[in-house]
Amino acid sequence: MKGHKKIVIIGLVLLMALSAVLAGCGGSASSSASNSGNDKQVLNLNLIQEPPTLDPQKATDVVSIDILTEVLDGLTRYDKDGKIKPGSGLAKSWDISNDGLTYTFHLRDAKWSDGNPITAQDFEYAWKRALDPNTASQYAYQLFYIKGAEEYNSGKGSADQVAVKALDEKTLQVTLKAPAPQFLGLTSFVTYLPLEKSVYEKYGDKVGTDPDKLVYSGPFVISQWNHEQSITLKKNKDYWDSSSVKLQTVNFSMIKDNNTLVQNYDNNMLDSIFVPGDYIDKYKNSGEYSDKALATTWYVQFNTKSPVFKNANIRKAFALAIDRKTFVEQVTKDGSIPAEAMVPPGVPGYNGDFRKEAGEAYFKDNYVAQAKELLKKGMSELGISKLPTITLLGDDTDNAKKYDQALQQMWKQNLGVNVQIQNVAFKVRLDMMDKGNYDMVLAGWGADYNDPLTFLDMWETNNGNNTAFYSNPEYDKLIDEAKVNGDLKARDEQLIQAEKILMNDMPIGPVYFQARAFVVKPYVKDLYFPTFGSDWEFKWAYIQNN
Amino acid sequence: MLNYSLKRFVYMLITLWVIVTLTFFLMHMIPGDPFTSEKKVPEQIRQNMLAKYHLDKPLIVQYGYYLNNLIHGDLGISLKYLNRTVDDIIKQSAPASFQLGIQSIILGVIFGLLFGIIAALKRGGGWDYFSMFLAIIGISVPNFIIATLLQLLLASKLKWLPVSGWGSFKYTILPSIALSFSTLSIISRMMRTSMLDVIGQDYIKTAKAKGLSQFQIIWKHMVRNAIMPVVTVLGPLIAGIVTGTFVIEQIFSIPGLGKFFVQSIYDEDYSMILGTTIFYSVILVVMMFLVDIAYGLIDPRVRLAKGGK
Repeated sequence: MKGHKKIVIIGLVLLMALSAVLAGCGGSASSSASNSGNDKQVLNLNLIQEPPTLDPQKATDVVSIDILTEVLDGLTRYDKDGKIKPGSGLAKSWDISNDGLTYTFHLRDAKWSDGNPITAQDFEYAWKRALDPNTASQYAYQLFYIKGAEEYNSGKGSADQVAVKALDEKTLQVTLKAPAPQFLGLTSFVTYLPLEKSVYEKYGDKVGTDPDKLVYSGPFVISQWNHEQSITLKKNKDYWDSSSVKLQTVNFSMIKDNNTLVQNYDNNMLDSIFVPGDYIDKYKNSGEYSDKALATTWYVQFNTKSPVFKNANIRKAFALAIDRKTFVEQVTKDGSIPAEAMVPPGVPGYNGDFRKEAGEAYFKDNYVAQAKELLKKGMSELGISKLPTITLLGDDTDNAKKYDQALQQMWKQNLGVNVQIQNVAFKVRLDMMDKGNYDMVLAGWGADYNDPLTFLDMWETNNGNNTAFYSNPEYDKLIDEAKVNGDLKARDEQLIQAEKILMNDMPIGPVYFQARAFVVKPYVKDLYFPTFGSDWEFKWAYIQNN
Repeated sequence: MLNYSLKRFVYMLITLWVIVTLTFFLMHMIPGDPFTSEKKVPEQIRQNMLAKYHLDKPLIVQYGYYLNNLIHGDLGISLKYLNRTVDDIIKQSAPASFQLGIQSIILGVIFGLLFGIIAALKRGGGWDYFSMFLAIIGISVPNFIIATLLQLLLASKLKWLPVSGWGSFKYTILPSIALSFSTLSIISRMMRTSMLDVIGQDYIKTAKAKGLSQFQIIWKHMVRNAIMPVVTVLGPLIAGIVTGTFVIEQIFSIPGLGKFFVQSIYDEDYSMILGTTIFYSVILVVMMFLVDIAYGLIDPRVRLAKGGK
């Protein structure tokens, strides 16, 4: 009897083990293809995480955008040199009315991956879907430039009142509520990317959860998606510009651990990675290394309602006491640029780079003498002889902690002020900023679209993103005027003027314009790293034969 | 026995209900919500989103919805991976964690018991010190260091095994070994201590006097008596390991469940937090139940005591 039970127990354990092994095996086949032969047109890249959703109207994060912009084409598409040109996307040309309000797009003959023609109706349907309150799209506001869009989304208007209309199969007419030079660029943005109308109708909320619940119009199609593990793209044979696409396959892994990522690159399992901060020294002189500025500014944001930082001179003192050069050279080390203004370089102004038009710097970096002076002045204005405890809020990532400590050190050394650091989870930080539960915070802002306005309108008095609670009527007036100004030269002047005011009041002390370090294997050619939007553009990339 | 099982089952349900309730209200106390984002969206859009996922209702109503869905086996839609259900995500991720967990437990238990038994029998000898050394390493060195070292040596340098990924059996070897270390250490130490207790007992002397073979004494009398504490810890240990481990899965890039336990809290993905918590709790409670049954099978005295009541 006893012996039997023992056998039963052992049997059970073995059975469990076996079933587990079988269950694990059934699920998925290996997909991390190695590029043993470099002559094959296969590119291996890594995504930092699983794309949260591949529903173009619901996607908001960079990983989803990375995939969607390679499998879908918009009316426009950024060209190799980062420009929007007629014919670079699904619109072969467009007409803009003299008042800058009405855009008429003429679509090229192109097909969905299921063989059906791409029509203007698909666009109209997709854009209205993004605005439909029942879709609950977070990025619906990206379409608020269109007349009637906001009203429909907030339940005050109807879909028919949204001024986007398919005049015929190949002509789409859009009327804006105010001139917006960034609109053409926006039509390449993910929220504006359509799927075929019938696909929306068939899958509803399930759109984009699996490859078969999508239809493709871009350079690639998704051939396989193993959730949390890998995505495989194949060349889209039906793409209108398929002769430009040389890659046959793009494999994405989803590695999150930095060390694993680097080892996969070193072992040729990946052809290009973004280099984690701690590994920059390892690659810096390798010849495979580059870095590129992103359209993102990082700054110390002051709570202008806090007892100390309501004083502009104290804010300036803290901003001037930062040694930005040392910060980017010793701390970030990733090619970031010291920031002495809000709008990063590379964002276009009226005639060339906005940063060049407005001047590179509004103040001097590491201006310790002036900083000390201003602190003294500010404190006497507040009538205090000693600063209360000041806390710097930051994220709880390794990088953020390092950055916060560097700033803390600089303030101690240059101003003699002891600043406390509070590191919290990202969403908790955002919530504390919203509620004004902070003194100052290291925060960043990336461009929504390629125009200085995306960095400046956020500081208007009632803007939800203005968690510095900054308010200056003169500033508000300039921004409000610039927003609707059809005279682009005058608009540019207004934006320059506004930035000047912002940098004089200093609700934020800019620290650095973010760059990103990456390595690419030498046999990978024409892989582009756009300034904003997605991580890569590999429509034109190819593998060079050895 | 049936009566006993039924009672245990009812207790299990109550335990789960308490866990769900506590988790539900605690997670809503975290500042922010699933749709807190760096770029503020117009208030109306926020309202549309909250309404779509029923987050605009009073908390107690949301709680009611949740319990109702839960009873029907529906864990809801993930608030991060919009459009995907928590049931689907768990179904897709659990097998990898499960396979990895079971393999590492088997490794850990077999070698843990072996080392523990040998260490006790050869107390003070080379084996004893070797197993103690191994156990100290296993307990004091975090498994991510062991994992990274294994990865560097066996995968990156020697290229015997893949660096990371998931698919065939060879991908599971390194993570299973890395994961088994702490199990191995705990079990070998525990087994050694409890074996030493047993070795001094009178019935061992009796067994020897009866002329039983060395193997029979060890297997029937020593191990059987000494294994009880190990079985006790095995329940929670298995539950913890088969539901996925964040760090090991991250290092080897394994599409398991581990990351959801951690990441869902950062994302404030309410349905995912609850889903993973419930999943873990169910497995834990079931494992404890199995351990209870195993007691009875291994040690007749346990059954007698219960039967006597």
